Order: sequence, then C-alpha cells, then structure tokens
Amino acid sequence: MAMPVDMEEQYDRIYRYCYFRLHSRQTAEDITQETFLRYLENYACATAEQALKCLYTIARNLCVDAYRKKAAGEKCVQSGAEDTAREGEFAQTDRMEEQLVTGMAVRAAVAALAQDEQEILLLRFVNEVPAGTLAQLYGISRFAVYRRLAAVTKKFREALSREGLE
Amino acid sequence: MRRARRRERQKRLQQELKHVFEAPEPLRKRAFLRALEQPAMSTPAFVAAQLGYIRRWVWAVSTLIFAVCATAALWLPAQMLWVVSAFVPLLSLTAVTESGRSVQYEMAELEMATRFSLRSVILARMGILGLENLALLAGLLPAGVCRMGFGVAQAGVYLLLPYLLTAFAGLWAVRRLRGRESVYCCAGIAACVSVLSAALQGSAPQLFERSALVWWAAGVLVLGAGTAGQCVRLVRESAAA
Repeated sequence: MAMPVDMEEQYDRIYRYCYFRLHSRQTAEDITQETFLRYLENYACATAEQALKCLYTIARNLCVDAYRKKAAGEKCVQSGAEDTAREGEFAQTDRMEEQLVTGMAVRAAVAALAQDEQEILLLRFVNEVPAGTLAQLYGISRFAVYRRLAAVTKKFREALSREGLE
Repeated sequence: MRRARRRERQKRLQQELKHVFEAPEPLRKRAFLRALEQPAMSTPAFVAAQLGYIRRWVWAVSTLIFAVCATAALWLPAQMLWVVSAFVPLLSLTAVTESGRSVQYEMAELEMATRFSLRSVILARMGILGLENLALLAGLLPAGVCRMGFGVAQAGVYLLLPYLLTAFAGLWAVRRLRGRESVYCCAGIAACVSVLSAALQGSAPQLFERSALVWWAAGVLVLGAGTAGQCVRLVRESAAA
C-alpha cells in the first residue's frame, strides 16, 4: 500500500524533528531514512493520521536509542566535529536572523522553554501535526493535548512579552 | 481590524518559530526518495485489488442472468435456448461496458498517471470479467446438455455465438465512441443481438439443426478471433490515448 502522506513533505518534517532531538545533521538524516524504511517494511496505514503517528513514534524511539548510545559513552570525535561544522553552516543564517529583532525575541522565548515544551511547540506549530495525532503519540487524551498546548503557548507568550514582543 | 492584525502577528510568529527550529538542509533526501521503491505488489494482490473496483451492479446483473437461465433450464427446458440466447448478450454487455470504463468516462489520461499502467488495469479487469462470464457459461453448459439433449460442442457454440457477437460489436463501439454514447450503443447492440437470437429460434429453426453446426462453429471461431483482436486494440489504444 502506498503511503497516505506526502513522503517528500514528511521527510523534511521528520528530519527537522530528529535534528531538534539530536542536534546532529548526519544522525538526524540517518534516523529519518531509517524511520521511513521501517514504516514501509512494517506498516500499511490507511489514513494520514495513523501514518503520522507511526512515523513520529518510530522517529522518537530511534532518537531515544541514538541518544542512549551517545550517553553510554559512544560519543566520538566525529560528533564534535559535526557540531562545529553545523555551527559554521548556521553562522550565516544566524547572522541574518539576528538582524531581526522579532527573530531574536522568538529564539530567546523558545530557549526559555523546557525541552518537552519546545518539542510540542515544534510538533504542533512547525510540523503542523494534528492534535489527535499528538494525543496518540503522547498517549494522552485530546483535551490533555489542548491543555498542554495552552500552557506552553501561555509560557511562550510570557517569554515573548519579557523580550518586549507581545 | 484588530483581529486581522492579530492574525497577521500570529502568522509572523509561526514563521519565526519555523526559522528557530530550522534544521540544515538534508543532504541525501533526493537520493533516498529516488532509491526508495514502492513496496512491490504481487499479481494475485493486484488482481484482488482490481476486483474491488468492478462495480456491484456487474456482479448483480451476472448473477441475475445466471439465475434466469438456470430457472429456464429447470422449469422451461423447451424454451431454454431462447432464454439463454436472449440473455447472454446482456452478460457480454456488462463485461464490455465495464472494460471500457476509463475510455467512456474520459479518464484514461488520468489513470495512466497512476501507480499501475492503464494497460495492466484494463487487462486485469477484462481477465476477471472474462473468467466470470466463462464460469457462468460453463455453469449453463450442463443444463443445455442435459435438458435439451444437445452435445457439449453444440450447446457450447449456441451459448458462445451471441456472447461473442455482442462482445465483438460492443468493443468495436467502445473503441469508436466516447462517453455515454458508447454505453448506449453497446446497450443497443446487446438488445439487437438478444432480440435477433430469440427471433431466430422461432423463424429459422433450420439454423439450429445439426447440419448447421459447422457454420455456428465457424462463427464462434471468427468472432472469437475478432473479439480478441478488439480487446488487444482497446488496451493498446487506451494506453496510447
């Protein structure tokens, strides 16, 4: 069965999610590809919602595995070199973004959030994952997702107003 | 006004969030997506999938025709040949109109852009319908042999000739005409063959004597070859449309 979602679009989103979790371009891309391969081998979802849930679940588990391996002492020199390279690649983009006051304020406001709060913000507002899929992904009710989103949004807005934006 | 400004601010914030979470360009995306083959589908799975696309009324009409012919064989053995000759062209009509559906609804171009080639889809559907019709005719054959005292070959040609005549003329019409016109034309052909077959039973009984069997067999061979040719042309023309 073909995938009920646009693979090209979802590749970017899953990759962005993995990169957010791991901060490594190489590992994020490896995990993104592994996610799609595992999905195609083991799942045949009929709806886009089910497919998204499967993709994010696989990606999250693979990210956790990669993180554990890294934490267990397998962090090698390559990782450090990779991060340096990444910083170099982003330097130009960062310089451009930092010229914009809004961009700086948003960045600071995001940084003020906890990791799990940043994750839900990324999934809902950047990757545009539906609330129903988030509920399945986190194993909570849809109302709980809305409550968590409202709390995170409130905290984010407060941080923005501290930066003088809202 | 305030709401519009707020919405615009929300949009800008969302854009900024996207920048904040932006990841560096993936390097191997194109190659991966290109190399990633669609999961293969076996032939039986493909045929089974096509089975679902054949409309329910086709199965319903086929079952009804078989039921009518079987009832005639049981209760009106003297009229069986008349009934079968009259109804078998309708069986052919269902198969022809269903096989030419992409052409009739002018969807051939769109279907060609899908995962499976239009050629394989039409061939699969034709194969399914052909087998189903063949099974129905084979089911009627023993009734013709037992109840009317015909030989197997005789009953076979009496069943096949009106079927093949309708299929041949119907496929020809589907290839020449587009849209609803082809359906009406096929229905007209089926009705003509049906009435003609039934009328010949009463007006020309000499056609159904053993001596005329060779002509029936020749007709079946010629029309069989012609129908096969029309099928090949329909598939080829649909795929090249």
